Amino acid sequence: MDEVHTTKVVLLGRTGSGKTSLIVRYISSVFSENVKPTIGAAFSKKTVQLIHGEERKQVVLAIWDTAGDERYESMAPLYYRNSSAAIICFDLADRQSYNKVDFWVKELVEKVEQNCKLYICGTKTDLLAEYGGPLKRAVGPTEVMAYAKKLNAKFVETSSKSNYGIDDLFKLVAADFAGFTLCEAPPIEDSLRLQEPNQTDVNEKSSCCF
Amino acid sequence: MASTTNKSTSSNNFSHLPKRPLGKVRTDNSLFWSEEYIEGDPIDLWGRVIADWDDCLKKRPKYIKKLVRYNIPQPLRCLLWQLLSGADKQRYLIEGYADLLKETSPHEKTIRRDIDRTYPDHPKFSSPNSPLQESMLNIMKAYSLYDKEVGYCQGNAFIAGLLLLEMPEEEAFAVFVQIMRKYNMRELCKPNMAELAVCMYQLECLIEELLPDLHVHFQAQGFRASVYASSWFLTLFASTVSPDLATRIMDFVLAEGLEFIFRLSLAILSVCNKDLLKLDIEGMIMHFQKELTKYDSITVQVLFDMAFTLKITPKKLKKLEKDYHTRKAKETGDVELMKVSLMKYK
Repeated sequence: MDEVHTTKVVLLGRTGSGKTSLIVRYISSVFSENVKPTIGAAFSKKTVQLIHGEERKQVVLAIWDTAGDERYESMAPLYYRNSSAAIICFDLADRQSYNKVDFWVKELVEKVEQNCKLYICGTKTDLLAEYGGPLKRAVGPTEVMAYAKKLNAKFVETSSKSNYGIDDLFKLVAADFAGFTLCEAPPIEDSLRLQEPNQTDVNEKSSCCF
Repeated sequence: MASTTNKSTSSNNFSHLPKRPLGKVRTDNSLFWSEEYIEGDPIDLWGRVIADWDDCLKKRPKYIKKLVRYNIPQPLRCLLWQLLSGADKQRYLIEGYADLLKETSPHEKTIRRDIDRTYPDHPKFSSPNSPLQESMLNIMKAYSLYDKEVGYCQGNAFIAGLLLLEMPEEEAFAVFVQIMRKYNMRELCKPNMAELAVCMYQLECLIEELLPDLHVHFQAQGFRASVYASSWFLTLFASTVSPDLATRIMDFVLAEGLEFIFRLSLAILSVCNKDLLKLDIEGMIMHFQKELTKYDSITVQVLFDMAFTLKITPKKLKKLEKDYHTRKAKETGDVELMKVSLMKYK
């Protein structure tokens, strides 16, 4: 029997930054152009299986989705309280969305969520010109990386539409929580293979090394 | 004035429910059931009321409420929503609507981003460039200009969309404004959402009184009303239940006010009380996400019946509101006192 751990993960970020889509893609392996705005909060969970040599761990990710509208900000502490990870999302093509990241970082630091690991997630890569999309990057990766480094946070880029980086992000969260260190990110071909949706089994396997 | 050209072509799923002679069944509750016996074709019954609306509203408000509970025939809904909300008396809203749309709203970008994702599964809204989407955008924009203090509150589009399924854009705007003003919704939607916090407090107190076991469970789990019930109030359930059910809920809200949302919330909690007691926070949230979207007509009838028999009165709600403000003042007072003593300590 594997060790089973449960960890609370919260998604924060400006309205329209793609929080709900990210979760829907991860949980249900589907993408829909339009998901309902989250009012209040929503919840879902998924089990990640981590294997390192003889050691096996199961991490249940309890994922809280939050509202992006500024009006709901006062309720946010109800959701991020006792989270072990916060994924702060921003739309890579929207500067305003990126500007909001710092608000959430400060909020978490201020409310002394010390044990909460920070992940900064640039979303919607499929919309960027460099990936064949129509929009320009609103913020350069070096700027975000420098910012993330300062915070001791991790920076990832994802696309819920093309299913890029999503599984890797949540795997990373699970591995960090379990104290595993993931291998270097696999090349894109590999990660695509890894991300083929599994029809019957929501568990996923992930290999790790120290 | 009212046109029904735009009304939903699909018949309302809940309109086929047995039209029961409610007056006969319940003679005990004088507040709601004391008016005369109701039976017969609802179109005829409503016809008489509509013909003499102002007088009826003044002299027989309970009878009107009772008729709403009995049935609102789909063809009359467009007109009745305007009458019940009092939008028919606010012609200036309809007349000034076109001028509002000529202005630019600072919220337009945010509104536009939400419009595509309001009712994403509804065929009338989901197709790009659907006329209803454009109307929904217009109503939200016009309202953000009409009521600058509230501006645009995420979730409002669900209410506007529901109105648009029944009536043309201008009329829907007038009813929307009435919902915001007359039914206190604008207070809930103001940027600090202070009034929503009051509603959440009232709801929690009602749970404590009417479902004490569940209250203890919620307390132990730290499960606050704002986590699960914010959307129930802010969208009048339109973002959580099927559009057909949301339509019927709108009938009751327009006839009875926000009090009905309290009633329905308690009824829902009461129906799934046993399931909830076995679940942790996450399980409870998932329960609501799953169950509310798939209520069948039988469950709906049970919920409505229960909602109307619960002992929730305007007087009680008012008292709880007062309690909330007293507590709040005390808390703020305590903080002030603490500040003062800290200053002394320094």
